[in-house]
Amino acid sequence: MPELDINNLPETEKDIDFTDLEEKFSEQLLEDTLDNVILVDGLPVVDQAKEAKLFALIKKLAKNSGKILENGLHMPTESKDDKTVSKGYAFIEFETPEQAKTAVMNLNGYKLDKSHTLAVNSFMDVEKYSKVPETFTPPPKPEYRTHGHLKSWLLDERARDQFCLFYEQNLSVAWNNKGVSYDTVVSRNSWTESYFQWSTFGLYLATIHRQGVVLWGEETFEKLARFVHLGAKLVDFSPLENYLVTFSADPISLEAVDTVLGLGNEHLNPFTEADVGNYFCLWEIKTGRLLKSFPYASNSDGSPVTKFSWPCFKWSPSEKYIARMTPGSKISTYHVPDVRLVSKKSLPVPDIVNFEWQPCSPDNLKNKKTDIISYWIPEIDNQPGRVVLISVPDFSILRSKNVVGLKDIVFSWHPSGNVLCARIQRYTKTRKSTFSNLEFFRANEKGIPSDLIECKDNVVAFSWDPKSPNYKFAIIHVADPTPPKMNSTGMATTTVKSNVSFYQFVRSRSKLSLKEEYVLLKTIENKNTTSVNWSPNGRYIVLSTLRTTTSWGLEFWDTEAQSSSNPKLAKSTDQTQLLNSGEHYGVTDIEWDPTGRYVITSASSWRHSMENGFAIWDFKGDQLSKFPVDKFKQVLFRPRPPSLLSDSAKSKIRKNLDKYSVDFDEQDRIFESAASIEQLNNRRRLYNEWVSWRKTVDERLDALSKTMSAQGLFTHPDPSNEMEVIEEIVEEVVEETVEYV
Amino acid sequence: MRPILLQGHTRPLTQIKYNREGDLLFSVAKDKVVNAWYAHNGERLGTYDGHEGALFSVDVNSSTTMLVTGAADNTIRLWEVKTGKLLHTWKTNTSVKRVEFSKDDNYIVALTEKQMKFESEILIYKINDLGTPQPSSPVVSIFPHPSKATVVAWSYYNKYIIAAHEDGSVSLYDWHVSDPEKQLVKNVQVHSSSITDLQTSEDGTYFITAARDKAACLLDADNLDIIKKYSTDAALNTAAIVPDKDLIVLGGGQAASEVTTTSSRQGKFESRFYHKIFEHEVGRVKGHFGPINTVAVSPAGDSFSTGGEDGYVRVQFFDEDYHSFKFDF
Repeated sequence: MPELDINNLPETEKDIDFTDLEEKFSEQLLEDTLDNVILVDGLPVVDQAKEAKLFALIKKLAKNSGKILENGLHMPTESKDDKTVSKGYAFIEFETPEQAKTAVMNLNGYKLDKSHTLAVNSFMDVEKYSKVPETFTPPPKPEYRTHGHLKSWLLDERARDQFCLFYEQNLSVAWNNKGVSYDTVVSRNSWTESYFQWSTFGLYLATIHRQGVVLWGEETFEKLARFVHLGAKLVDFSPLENYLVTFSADPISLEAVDTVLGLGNEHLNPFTEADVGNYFCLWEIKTGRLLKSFPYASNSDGSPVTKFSWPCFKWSPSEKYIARMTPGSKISTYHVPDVRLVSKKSLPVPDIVNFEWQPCSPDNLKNKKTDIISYWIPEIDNQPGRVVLISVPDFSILRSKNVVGLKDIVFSWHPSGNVLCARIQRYTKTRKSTFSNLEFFRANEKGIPSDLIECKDNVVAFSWDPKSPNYKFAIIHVADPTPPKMNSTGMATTTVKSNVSFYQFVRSRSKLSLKEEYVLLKTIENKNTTSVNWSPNGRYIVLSTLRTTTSWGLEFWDTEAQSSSNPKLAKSTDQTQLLNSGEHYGVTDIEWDPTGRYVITSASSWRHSMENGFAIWDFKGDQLSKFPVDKFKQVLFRPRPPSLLSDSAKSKIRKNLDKYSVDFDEQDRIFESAASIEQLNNRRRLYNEWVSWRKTVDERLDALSKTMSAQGLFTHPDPSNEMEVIEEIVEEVVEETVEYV
Repeated sequence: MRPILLQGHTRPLTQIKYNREGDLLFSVAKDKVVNAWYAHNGERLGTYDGHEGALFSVDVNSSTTMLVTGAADNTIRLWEVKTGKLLHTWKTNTSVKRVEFSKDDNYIVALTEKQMKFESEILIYKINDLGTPQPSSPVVSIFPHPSKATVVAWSYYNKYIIAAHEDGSVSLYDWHVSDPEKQLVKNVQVHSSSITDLQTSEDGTYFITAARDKAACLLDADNLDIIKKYSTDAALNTAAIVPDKDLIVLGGGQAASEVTTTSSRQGKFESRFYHKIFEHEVGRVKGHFGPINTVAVSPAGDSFSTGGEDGYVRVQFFDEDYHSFKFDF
């Protein structure tokens, strides 16, 4: 605005010069109104006579998309050969930008006749793209950054394990010092927005943010990679931690990602038009590249399947394939990293309920030729239910088994991939109650023979001993399989009586026959156990009552205990022995450390707010320490990659353990005494500080006492009034007897 | 040893005090009753009757001749300990949250609550000898700012008035100055939530604060430096310094309104002993089934008492190992 002269103010509003303001805002006004304008190109060139007819045609075409404003149709004309003819394009102004948008969708590519195909664009887009500079300037190349040793945590001198804990807004990674204390490595506030996760072998720590997923690593947990997926909720690492699958409940939108990345960073946007509206992303971790994004699986009627169990993309153990099931219709198997459908189409499996890949220990991956998928389909009409094993990539059926009276099946592959246990829940003949069968398929043997255990009651949990050569496993079985009532945070309000049984595979050869079967080792009856957790090294197991509001028992069992007197006579039932039992009030989660030395039990504030925190136990069930932590949420041990030692090397170490342990004991002693000396020194220092502080205070008081009483501000108590002890002797007659002599 | 349970109150305890010799114990609760007890056997010596509202505070002078009480009936009352006779009543605008005799017994300090249109106020009265009339107007009054005060105490030689505030800060006031602008000497943020108790050491050179933020702090009364900090797992209502040992006692527990809605074991109603210098927890004594509102340690060093929301006073005598225990350093 031009300078105002105080003495010469405009008399009326009309006299004020608004030109500067009008100039400033006019452009914006104009732009705002152009969102509802579309440009229709490819129209036939017509003269004035036919103009009205063409207008009518355009109006008719655009009618479905929205209402055209009055005088909203403009067709520029030019003079040619003394005639006024149209230029072959027109502008249409709609009532709203939305209508314009649908018109673009509907009319673009519309064939008017053989020689005229409409090209329709939003007017704003034309503006936008016309402003794109003609010369291409490559985006700035990110500087190469060397990073530190990614596996440095494995080189710890004391072979300690790390764990990560999350409380309030704080995320910390710490060393576990023999379960007694922990040393924090890094601790950051608001490091994650919802939760954290370790990668399969512990190389990366994933934190979840509104903008996506960030991976951290190295000694000091630097940022290694960022995967932009707005609203990411779920994360899943591939078995060899080369890939990452993320899920967000918000559909991918290019504009939203651009906004988050900020101006000038559009080249970092991993998505293209093809990804818009998808929910799942498959990433390659090392390059940070988006391999593919996926929509929800769709039902036969085209509606999306928004309820799924995570991970819904399942990996083959070699990471060669990733598969997803569309419930009731098909399995889609993709080859990674090119993410092409294997044999170009999904495998149709009508009625499929669930599937599982055959796992494989990382050592045997090289020898593995084909992958196996097991899936099951329920009973439909009079067709019995079925368990099917197929090979990948040729999808030929290896084995199929019918089941009658089928209610539900849960697959549990042994970690070696040699045996598949199908936990089958079946109806009794009356169909009023249910019972369980355990069907074991020996996948590595010819013809895939199966063994069966029939249970009278219902098996609610099944867990393989991960290392046992005899395929040992534990089950929890109950009479009534209906789960107890839960409160809103998933805590059961009552406990259910349950039994725990241990079985193992036994092969006994007599002259005539070969007997192969699973034998019951021991049943522990009438417990409240809700969860069985094997040590990652096998043999030891924790039976626990998790997530109930009334019971918090923990029992530590050894399944290969040698009875001391005579090992040869020891019966199988004696092998399974209770080592110790304990209780952790409010326990919600159990976590073994990757070496099987320690167990962390934790009470998470996600479930309840009673005595949140965690406790560390050794494998024998002795509680080593307990840490109450306010608003404690999550604790997870950092996984370790598989050992590089061969089995023979390991057994050699085990044999010579006594020799090594001398050194270790010595180390422990040194550490302990150093710690206690340090503590004593610290205390001595604190005490001396206190004493010297008191001395200065006393001196100050002495100096002050004279001045204060001289000024009459303080009357010192009269020394004669000091405490006087009066001793009173009271004699009481306890008893009186009279004796006559 | 079994504690002595003093069942003389029907409502939550608010404060208990030993006299200087540690042979008498005075307790006040929200039930209008002031009780005096023999500390060694829990026998009731008598009551001081007259208050018409819940009592919040009690203090006895060093010669155990006079007792002062503050209550929700907007009065401060002075009693003769021996006879139970009411010597004087001061009317205040609002309820009285805290009263304390100065170290030389010549003054009392009283803290009034912020209610209605009245601001929270610290009042200091001159106390005359027994048998002479008491002046009815205060020597000086201080308006604590900006947050209202929750507790007040005398520092050594009556030099300052120490006030703890609702916002977790602690202030020093020079009460010899009458200009309200110049009274505040220092204000230090100590806790993150309301301070519930403040007790000075025997000589008044340092003091302990307890707060709902689950921590207690030991502060220098001269410059308000935080000397020690004791972190616990329970919200604290009270803290006391053990006079003859390097220990402190803390009491508290979850808020009374939450007690019935959660399981009893997480109430954390134990009194906790910490080493004063090493900030290390050395023991816990349980017994109350509601939060502990007030704790006092006998100057004789043989016992301590806790008053709970549950209406009981528990007088707990120390075991043999308490006296023989020595920290390794």
